[in-house]
Amino acid sequence: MTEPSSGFAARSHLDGKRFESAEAGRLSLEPAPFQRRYHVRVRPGDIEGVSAALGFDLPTSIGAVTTSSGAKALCLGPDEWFVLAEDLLSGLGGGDAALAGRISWVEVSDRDVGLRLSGTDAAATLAAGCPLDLTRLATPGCVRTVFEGVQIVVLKSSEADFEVSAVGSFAPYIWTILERAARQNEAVRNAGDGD
Amino acid sequence: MSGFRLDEGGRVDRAAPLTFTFDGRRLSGYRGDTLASALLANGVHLVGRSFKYHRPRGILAAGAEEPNALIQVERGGARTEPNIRATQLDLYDGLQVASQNRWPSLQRDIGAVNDVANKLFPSGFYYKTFMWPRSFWERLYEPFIRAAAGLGRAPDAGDPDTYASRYAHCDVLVVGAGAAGIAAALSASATGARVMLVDEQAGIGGWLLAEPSARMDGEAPDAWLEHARAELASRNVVVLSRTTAIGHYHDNFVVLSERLSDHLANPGEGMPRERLWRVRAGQVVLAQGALERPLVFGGNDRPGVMLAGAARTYLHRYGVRVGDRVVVVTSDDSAYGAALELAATETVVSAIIDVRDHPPTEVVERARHAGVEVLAGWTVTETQGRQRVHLVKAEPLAGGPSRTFHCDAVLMSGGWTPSVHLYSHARGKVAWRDDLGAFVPGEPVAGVRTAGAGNGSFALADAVAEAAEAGAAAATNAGFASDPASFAVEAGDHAAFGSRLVEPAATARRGRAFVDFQNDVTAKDIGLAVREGYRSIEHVKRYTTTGMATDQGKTSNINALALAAGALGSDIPAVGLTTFRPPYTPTTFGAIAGNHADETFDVQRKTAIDSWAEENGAVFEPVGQWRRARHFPQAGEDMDAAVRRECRATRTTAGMFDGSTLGKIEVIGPDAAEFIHRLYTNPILKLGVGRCRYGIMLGEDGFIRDDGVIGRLADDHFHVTTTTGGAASVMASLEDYTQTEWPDLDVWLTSITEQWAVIGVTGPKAREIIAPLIDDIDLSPDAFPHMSVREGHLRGMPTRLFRISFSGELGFEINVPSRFGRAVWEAVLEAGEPHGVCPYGTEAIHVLRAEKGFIITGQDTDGTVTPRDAGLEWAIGKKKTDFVGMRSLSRPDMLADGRKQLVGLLTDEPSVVLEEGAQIVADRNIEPPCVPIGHVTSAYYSDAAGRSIALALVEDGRGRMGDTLHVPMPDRTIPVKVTDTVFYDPEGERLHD
Repeated sequence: MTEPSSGFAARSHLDGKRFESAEAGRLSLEPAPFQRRYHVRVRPGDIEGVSAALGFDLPTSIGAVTTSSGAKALCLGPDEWFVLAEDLLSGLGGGDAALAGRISWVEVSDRDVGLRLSGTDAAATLAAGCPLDLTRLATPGCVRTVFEGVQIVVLKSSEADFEVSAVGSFAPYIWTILERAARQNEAVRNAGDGD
Repeated sequence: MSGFRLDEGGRVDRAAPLTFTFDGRRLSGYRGDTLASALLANGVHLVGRSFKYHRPRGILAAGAEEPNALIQVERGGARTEPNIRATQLDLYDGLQVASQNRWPSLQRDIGAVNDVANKLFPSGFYYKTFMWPRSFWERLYEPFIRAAAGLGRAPDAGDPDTYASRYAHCDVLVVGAGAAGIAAALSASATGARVMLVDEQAGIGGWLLAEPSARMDGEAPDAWLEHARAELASRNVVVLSRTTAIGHYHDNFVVLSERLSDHLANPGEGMPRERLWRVRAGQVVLAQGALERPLVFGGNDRPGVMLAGAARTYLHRYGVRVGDRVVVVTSDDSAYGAALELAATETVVSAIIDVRDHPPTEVVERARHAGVEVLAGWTVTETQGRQRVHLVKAEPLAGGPSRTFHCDAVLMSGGWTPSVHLYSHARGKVAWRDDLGAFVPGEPVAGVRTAGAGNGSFALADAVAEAAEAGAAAATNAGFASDPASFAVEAGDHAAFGSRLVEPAATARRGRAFVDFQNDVTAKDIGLAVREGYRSIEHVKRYTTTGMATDQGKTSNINALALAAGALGSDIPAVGLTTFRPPYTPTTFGAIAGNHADETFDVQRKTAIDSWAEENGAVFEPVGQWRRARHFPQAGEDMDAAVRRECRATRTTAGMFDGSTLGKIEVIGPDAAEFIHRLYTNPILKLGVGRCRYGIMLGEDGFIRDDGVIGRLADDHFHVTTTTGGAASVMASLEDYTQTEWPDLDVWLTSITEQWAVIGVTGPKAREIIAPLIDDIDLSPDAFPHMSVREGHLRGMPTRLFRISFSGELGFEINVPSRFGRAVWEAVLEAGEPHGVCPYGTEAIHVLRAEKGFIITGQDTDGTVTPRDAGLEWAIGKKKTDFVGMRSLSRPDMLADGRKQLVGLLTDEPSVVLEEGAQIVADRNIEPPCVPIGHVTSAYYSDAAGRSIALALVEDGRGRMGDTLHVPMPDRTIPVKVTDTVFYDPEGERLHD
């Protein structure tokens, strides 16, 4: 699939959104720039062979994240990956006879939207709706979980850097709750009467 | 200030006076007061009227167990809240509160007539009194009871506050931050475990705050608490005050409700009112302490009669004497401490009446030494005083002459009840300890430890040692090997615990002796319930209402149980305890709802094209979680007019709609065709590449679940659509089949619903409109016939173009990457404008498809409709040997006569549009009750047909063609004729242009 060369304007569900905590370094919440996203399925017994044929390293333990060819591969399940790339990864998954019938490589760049949280409050802000203990997630690490009832994929790059991917129409809901939680955390901290 | 406030002592800030109003009366208090302590400092004991009898009531306790002192807090506008415990409300400047359940005033309350007439309202009077005549229930009794019931006034406007909610994780959660809880937290946090310590009060300390003479590591409580706080902070222990652990669920999932701003005079902008914490704790230490029990004697509910431990708390923590002249009545040593400490102030202690025959000599001697008379083996039999106690009568339990004592307060103690609520929520089974007269936690629950007074260890040193042990063991279990911290503990001067549960029947001799103050249940009510045949304590509870409602029996359940056991001639463990239910204390709906309120009540999904619809005046409707444009009214148009215009334009020139919400699934793999073939009724294996097929999906039961279009992009590659509402469940069901039923098939699924924005262009001019936009797809009818799909480009943009139709007109569905959805929509609109293209919404979609007899699953089907019932037998592959639901279709009742079948209906009067859901009968004169033979599933006015049309499910419908049936409505009965389901272009010629 080639990159659109038309003059059509792209829009996102989170256009114009941004939140910065009053105290620098606490939390910065922003939409992730457009990225290429791929949903990849390979039979568990075939991962090494497919990785070799792709020239692309698919991690084999759930929650692991690897980087190759400038793209991050997030292992979400025994036979399931989510690939994030800055640029179009053309050619992968299609056309190669060696891969025929061994892989499902589907572009979902427009399905999902990313939200980036960085700062010391990032994990605590996500805890407003995510029941998992994200401080215990490996770095880098990933997990598919829920946020107030909707599915998300969390990519953790450091203790203070998280990227949440969600289906686009869920993103404004997630954003609203995250921004509200961030503001509430600030208000509570400012009120802090300490006893 | 008033004479009841000591000049020094307590933890109130005498340099920070505050004013507040109670029933409009201006009073003053200090920072650090609760409303209850401030009222008592002003000599106010009468604070409310009871629930049922409207009896004057005062302040019984000093904490969350308070059953009487429930007040209405007014913060202006919708910020009014009833039933706030005065003992838990921190005073702030300008606080406005009002008493409840009284009219016209607290002092003179008309409802108190209920008290005079109390013999008319025994337990269960509802069930006895309001039985007949039956018709009176709805019109008279229920409205009357509803008007009379309840305490306080619920707000009638929306809640203006916001509530936060969050998850948290820790290795050890300690509930209760008294001396025991602090000891547990210090022990648990020594080696790096993540520890949370929570307490419902304004700060840590618990009962230690009322024991100024106790010493911890040689320090007075205040100093030691300061050090403990600093130590906990240095170890990153999360300490939450004003935070109640309201429920303890499976696997140490504990819910905490934190009150953030109710104690602030001016909460800052954006300050949430409360925060609900959902904590997953590795280990839990419950150090919740114990609650003091009242004694059950006549008039024990009169204002001024209170728990001895509460009086001690008011004295030491708030510097407030609860009266000038007090009588103490007790079955526990601890009340002697309260007596002696009050006696050391200006307060006169007239007597200590000990209902035990032989209280410990040492305790009695100490009281006598201080000049306080002790009457052992006596009880109080009645109290007097209109709005506050002024006299008590006492007599020996063994009989003999009575004595009277003048007083303005009575302090009582019936011993202590360990708080086992959370242990019980966590499925723990309590055990009876006769020596304490109390239930304590029994067999340990995995991952849960109990310590301190809540475990029956009342003495400070025992409680602290046990809790330190529990904290260390919890941390060790969580993987952080720890040893218990050790503390040098010296109990307070008058610390003594030792009690006997005295039969409440022995003390409840005369008058009305209350067991449950909040629910107005007396000792006699419990006896009555047993006499009327109730044996189970759970039934006694419900019949009398003891231990119910927001109070959950905190002060009453042991006394009620003892009375029931006595009346049944059984012992307490045999009768058993009622079940404790979360929440421990009343919790606001706001906190529970958390994020699920207002704009985030639920997800509202919008398509990439939604913003265009909004800007262009669309009227929306919810479809599942989506909002979809229903129609686009122009100036002066109502929905009918707009929909007619949209339909007419589509049939005569062209219309366009946003089809993005349709579910889409990409199916890939060598076995993709076989997989789809097994799931849908239709034959798929031979579907050509580039071709589409309408597909019906059944459940295993043979009934229609979903339908959609299956497009084959390559041998091993399909693009399958589902209904909007069925998208998630169909995806889940397909994934389920790949993983559990046919793991042998090599096939993979990806949800692509929102990858693609879908722009439908429909109508005779559709091809002309899109042709200039399409780069590389031959749109000619021969090259791109009806039911085809092509991949190509739209002005350079990758597109999947479908030629399909849900309207019976020539139709295309343009799929483009959704971030460009709106831009492409506008480009198509621009291209279509010279042709008169008309955007249309879901209502026109529904009318156009109904004119063609196309079903909507979930509207024309209801989970009991087979393909044959729906007239869709043609969609079942004749040569197929299996598909999901096939076997069920051959069951005899699926083939029998009398099943409801989808038919068309035409009203005799063309302008009459039937109501969807209306029932259908064959005989217009039939009288209810009767069984209808079907119902209307879809009904519209059809511009194309020039009249109303309807679809209906009717018994043996296809055998009734041409028959007249009847649709009875409230105002008239509408005759209808049964017809075929296709009302427009029955030959389908328009599709193939």
